[in-house]
Amino acid sequence: MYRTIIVEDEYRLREALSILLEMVAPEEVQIVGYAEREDEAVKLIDRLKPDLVFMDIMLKEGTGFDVLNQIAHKAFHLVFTTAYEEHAIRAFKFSAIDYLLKPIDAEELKMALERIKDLQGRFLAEKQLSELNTSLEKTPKRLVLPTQEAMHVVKIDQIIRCETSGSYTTFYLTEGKKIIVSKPLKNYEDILVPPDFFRVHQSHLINVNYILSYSREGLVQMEDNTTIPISRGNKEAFFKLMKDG
Amino acid sequence: MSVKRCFNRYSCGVLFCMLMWGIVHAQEISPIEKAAREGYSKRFTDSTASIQIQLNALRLAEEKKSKADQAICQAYLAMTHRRLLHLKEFTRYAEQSYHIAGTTSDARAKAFASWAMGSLKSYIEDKSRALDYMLEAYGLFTKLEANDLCARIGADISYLFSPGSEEKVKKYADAALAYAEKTGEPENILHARLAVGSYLSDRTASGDHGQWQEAVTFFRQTIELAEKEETKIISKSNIGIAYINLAVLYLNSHKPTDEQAFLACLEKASHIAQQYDLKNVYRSAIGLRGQFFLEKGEYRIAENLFKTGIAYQQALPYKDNYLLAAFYGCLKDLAAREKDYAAYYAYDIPFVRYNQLKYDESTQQMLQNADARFESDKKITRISQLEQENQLQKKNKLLGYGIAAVLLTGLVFMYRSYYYRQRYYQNREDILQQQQANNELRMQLMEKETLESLAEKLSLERRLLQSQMDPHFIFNALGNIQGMILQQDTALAVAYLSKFARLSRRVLEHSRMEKITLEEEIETLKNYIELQQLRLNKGFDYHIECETSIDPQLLLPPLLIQPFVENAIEHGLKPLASSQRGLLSIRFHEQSNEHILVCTITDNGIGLTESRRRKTHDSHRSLSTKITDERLLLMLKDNPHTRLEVREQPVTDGQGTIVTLYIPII
Repeated sequence: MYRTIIVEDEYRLREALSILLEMVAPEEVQIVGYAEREDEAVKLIDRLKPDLVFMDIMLKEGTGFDVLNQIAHKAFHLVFTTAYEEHAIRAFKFSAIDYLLKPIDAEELKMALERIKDLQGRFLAEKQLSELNTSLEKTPKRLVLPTQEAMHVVKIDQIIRCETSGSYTTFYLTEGKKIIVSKPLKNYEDILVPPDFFRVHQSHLINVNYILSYSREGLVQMEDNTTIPISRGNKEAFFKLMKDG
Repeated sequence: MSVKRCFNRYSCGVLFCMLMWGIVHAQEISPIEKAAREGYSKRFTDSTASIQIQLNALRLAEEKKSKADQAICQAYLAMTHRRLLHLKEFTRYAEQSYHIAGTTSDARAKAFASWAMGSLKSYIEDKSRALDYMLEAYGLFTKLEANDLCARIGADISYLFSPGSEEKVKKYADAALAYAEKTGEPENILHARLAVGSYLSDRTASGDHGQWQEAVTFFRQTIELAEKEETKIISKSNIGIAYINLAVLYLNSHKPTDEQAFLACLEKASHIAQQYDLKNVYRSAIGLRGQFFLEKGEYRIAENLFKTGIAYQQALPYKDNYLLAAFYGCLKDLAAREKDYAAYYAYDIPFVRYNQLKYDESTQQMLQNADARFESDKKITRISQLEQENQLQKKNKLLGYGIAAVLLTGLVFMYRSYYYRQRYYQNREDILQQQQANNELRMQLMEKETLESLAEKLSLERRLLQSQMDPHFIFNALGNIQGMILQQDTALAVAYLSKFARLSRRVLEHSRMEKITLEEEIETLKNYIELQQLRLNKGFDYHIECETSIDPQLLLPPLLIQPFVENAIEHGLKPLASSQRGLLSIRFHEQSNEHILVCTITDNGIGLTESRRRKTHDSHRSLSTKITDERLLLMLKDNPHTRLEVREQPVTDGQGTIVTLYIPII
């Protein structure tokens, strides 16, 4: 049973989320409190010490980020809820923090709860919060990769390439390291973007700074001695990127 | 406006304004040329003496009847006047030089004259002609092995090819540096290195880190050289420019910026600027620093810097509207980021004024340059005409002697009067044609202007839709509908959904229209406000009041008011504590003699100061206010009474904000 707090400044959206939680996971979630202002939320979280917090970004006063920076109790699972904040969504992806888009989809809510269960009690990590703060401030240089064992913080310029198989993505890093994450490549395609990164193939995203050579036929030789195919549809854009930049 | 680019451009401008020095190779240099060169080298320190010495040299050349020296002296004088921004004298000397050089066979004189002409053409922005002359001068000086001048002109050619031909930009800059290194003079080397640095910097626009690193290393070396040889460098501004360009590179690097290096560069640039009174360098340094702190979010420091920049410029004896507009633009940007709308509009007034002045100025400058181009072309044709006439006259004379012996002189006079009459009519026609050409040029310029303002309007329309339908608002509304459905309040959900659909349809329609009736505008506003009321659980009341004398069918530009209503609700009323009841009131009255509809939006929310204190991040709302702002600016052209006022309610009347819009009636 997760003791849950919902931080949301619009009462009808708050209601909607409560009802959805009741529908999706009546046995697992128990809502212990609501807050709609920054100061309220800080006090409530520190007093009730919840296991799970759903956090809206724009509050009546202050933001969800401000709340996170002020609380003392941080041993909980965090899911942001947002109507439309592109900038914030990018930061969530870089820091591997979960988020849901409003209006909330019951299926997605269910999946978010599944992911939380998979974490087996490992809560929000301090390094995720610090990455969130940096990613909000400026262009991120690091990326958080969550795995079964730990939260890995990797430098983006040390990622040579990513390869997907089904809903898993393997990151190949310099010095022969590799990390497997249970998220689809699509999740990273939006944040690892040109000019440094390019999706050459349905299952390959490469860092163009690690290209050794490429051929007109559509094969790229990477510095880790692998050869990656370029799919036909991506050839033109790839050659253009290599030429211009 | 991209301020960074604007300061960048500014430093480019400085580059172009920079002038040359003339330490000419020792071989085949006459004492007169040496004297002129000596005078020329004083142009930075003592312009009066500089011109005096050169005029003396010119007089000497005239006395000695040395046409080559005359042409060279005049070329130097032309370049000196360029530095002093005296277009008239600059033109006169350059043309005289070119004319006299044409009458000699002296390659050196011809080279100098072409250089002066090329420089003139580049100054009046006739790039293709400038290149013709410059390439001619470059070729001649190469043959003469005048390395210093080759370096100088090579760099100028490189700038002229930019941004058209990357390959040539590189070729000439590299050649200039090679020549400069042959002379071994730090002055020459620094100038050529700036040209090379300029293309290296331009290349970094692609975002390639390696190229960026290369440019930075190059500028660092350049600065090292300049620091070591500072005493030997006459144009100190080049040193300052090197620092500024390096700072710009740091600022444009991948974030985060290397703060220390960036600030150190500007510190050095400011220091040199103060030491040698280099106003351009000093202002650029202030502007760049301000831009940096603005992006870093240290608004107070940035604000102080921009204000210092403005005060500095105001204290100078000449106006620079381009720069003042840029500084006020930065302050506006800053206020928008801080959500300080009162300050935003306060800065907007000088911004608009200087922008207008800048615009007038540049139009005037464009016409002036066009006139100068035209005059200069005319003169050159006149010169060749006169030469032909001269030759004809000479021929006529010879003929006259021969014929006079045989024929009646009257016959000769008849012929000549006929010839001159023909010439007279021909000339008159030529002048008329040229005038016509000039008029056409003016028309083209005006047409370009209209096209530009049309393009501006179109892009605004496109963005208008975006600003009105805030995605945040859309998805929150959908979220609310979801809530109502989940709470099984079907009636409310259906009502809300229809209201939402109606609003979306209206905004879509109105964003494509030039004008709508007041009635329609009020309907849309009501629709919007009622949706917001439902969303905030009736947390506020509203009323819209319209003077009875106003014709509800009068026409106005659509969707101007909603962004301010949105501000009032989101920033004023929504943060109110639940114990306080919000009230939004909108009043319309007419100032019919000015064709203005006045709309006053009042709320009893938390007020500007409080809202600013809490400042929550919201890029959409600053976008929509900015767009409304641009639209009002465009309307100002048609109705000078268009205006916007934002102020805080006096405490005696309770808290809140009052926005007054003066909307032109179409």
